[in-house]
Amino acid sequence: MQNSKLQFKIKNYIALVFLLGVSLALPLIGQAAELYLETSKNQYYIDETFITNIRINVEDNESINAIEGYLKFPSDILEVKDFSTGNSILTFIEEPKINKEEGLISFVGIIPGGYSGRIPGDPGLSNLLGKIIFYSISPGIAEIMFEDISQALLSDGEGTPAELINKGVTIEIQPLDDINPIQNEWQEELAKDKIPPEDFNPEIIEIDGKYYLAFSAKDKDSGIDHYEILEKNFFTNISKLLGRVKWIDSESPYLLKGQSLSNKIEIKAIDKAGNEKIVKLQATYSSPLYKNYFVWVILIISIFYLIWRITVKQKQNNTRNRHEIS
Amino acid sequence: MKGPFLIILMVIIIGALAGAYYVLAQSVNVTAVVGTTTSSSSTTTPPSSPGGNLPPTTHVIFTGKAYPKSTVTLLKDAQIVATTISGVDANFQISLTNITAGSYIFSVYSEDDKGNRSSLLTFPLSVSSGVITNVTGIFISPTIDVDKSEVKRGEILKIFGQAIPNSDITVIINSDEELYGKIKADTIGAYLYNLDTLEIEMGDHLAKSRATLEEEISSLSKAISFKVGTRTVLKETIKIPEKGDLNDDKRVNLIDFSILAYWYQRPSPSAKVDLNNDGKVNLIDFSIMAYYWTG
Repeated sequence: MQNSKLQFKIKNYIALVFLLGVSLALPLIGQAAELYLETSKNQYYIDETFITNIRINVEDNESINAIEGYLKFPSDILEVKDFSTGNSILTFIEEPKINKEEGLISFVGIIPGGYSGRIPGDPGLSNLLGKIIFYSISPGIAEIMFEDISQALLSDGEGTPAELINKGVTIEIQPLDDINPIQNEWQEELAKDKIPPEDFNPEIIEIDGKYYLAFSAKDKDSGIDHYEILEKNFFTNISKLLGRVKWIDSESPYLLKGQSLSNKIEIKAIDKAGNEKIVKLQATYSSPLYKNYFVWVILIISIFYLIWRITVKQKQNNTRNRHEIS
Repeated sequence: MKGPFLIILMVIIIGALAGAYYVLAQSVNVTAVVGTTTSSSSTTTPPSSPGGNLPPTTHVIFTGKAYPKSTVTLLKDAQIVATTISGVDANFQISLTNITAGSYIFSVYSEDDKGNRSSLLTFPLSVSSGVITNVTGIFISPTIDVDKSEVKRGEILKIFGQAIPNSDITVIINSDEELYGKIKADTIGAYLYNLDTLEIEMGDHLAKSRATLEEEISSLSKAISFKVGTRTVLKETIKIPEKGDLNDDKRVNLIDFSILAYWYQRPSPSAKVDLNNDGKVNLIDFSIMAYYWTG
């Protein structure tokens, strides 16, 4: 009897030790990354606007450099108001996509050099990939989940897929309540953002024999909302004189209208709070004076003015002469 | 009762080893020092308050080791923001000022006297407004190169590079059976490891290295490829990024990223932008580009 008790104890010890050993060894041999969602609360009321952070964790000694995330949410309970790239560690390959009807969100980006986890002493988490701004439209339990096609690739020079653990979030949306004031977390964040996007360096690139403008600005608060471009030429100069400058909404890379690269270009990055940063790009090639419409207009106006002055002068002379004769 | 105690002892040892491994592998430390108002000595900014104090500044100071007199480049969110030359003792310091509060991905790399680059050492960091953040313990990986792109089996392959002076270098050969070689870097950080190719199989191989100095371990170097075959071909000495340089400017940066982004999921991409030769431009190509990033 004592022997069997002892055996049972030893078995328990072995099981405990095995579990401890596995838990200690896992971080060293693992190649897993974790994508997870985070909200400030797990209960909201109808008509409230809340932020859902998308974050990443990695195992020790693992580095992730490319992430493609697909999320699903119940479109009958929640509505996506926006996707913010503010403070994200990703360089986005394209604008995040939102399908409000289907309840789908997707984003894709890279981390040059790779993300290897938080370093000791870092005061922040420094693992934000993006923020989804949800608006609650009806009561119910809303599960916001990653889809299995989401992927994270290792920074190994070959794009090897990492084992991915996805952790969604469950939110309870409650009917309207007269006691609690309606909360808008996103509006509060926008109100705090007084800082314009960071300075950036646009570049002219050549793709398939055509010139494009490549640009990427970062905004650490609300995130970049959109870009606008102004290619300066004769017509925009006239428009400017008339006070009607027309900026064009654009994405990088932007196909330049002036393929001769003789236009000055201005690129405006605007964040979600409306703060702006304008960067000016000098013309790569200065066009000769005879090709400048503005110079021609001034020249023609000057000639007409001169002719008019001469004509007026002659008329005055003729009148004076006639007076003298008479 | 001896058995369970022995097992528990083993677990404690494993735990201690794991802890030590973790500490060594994560040798970059951040010390956030709350920025105090400093006495005004500037001639350009008039004192804004009695006593001549300036508002707190936001600084990030990076300190670490590279190679003697080497160029150290700092990237902020994938773009070059500063370069410096390390001292003869390989130590370097870079200070970034006027930085907006927020999360950043900082990366550091260095170049040896032959123009070879180290791998990119990347770390995320949250910068707070009015705080001086010290990032210390940066240990840049060694550079690595080989003298032959293909070597006849039985001949010697020279694996060389630069690291911190007097550091211990471990050369790792990735073949069917991983092979390790040890060598010591000299007083200027140069190292040379002669690989006897009889020790490895015929075929393609990769070599990496890492440096150790006083219990600090660098990250792994870039991987350099070579082939053990039936002939010897000397390696070309042109220093270009192996992959990802789409506009041939010897750099992999946002320009190349923009070109690749243009081709993302478009049909019939050119061979140049299809970095893994699978006939399409997708996330894998971007991952490869991110690995070879130089800023």
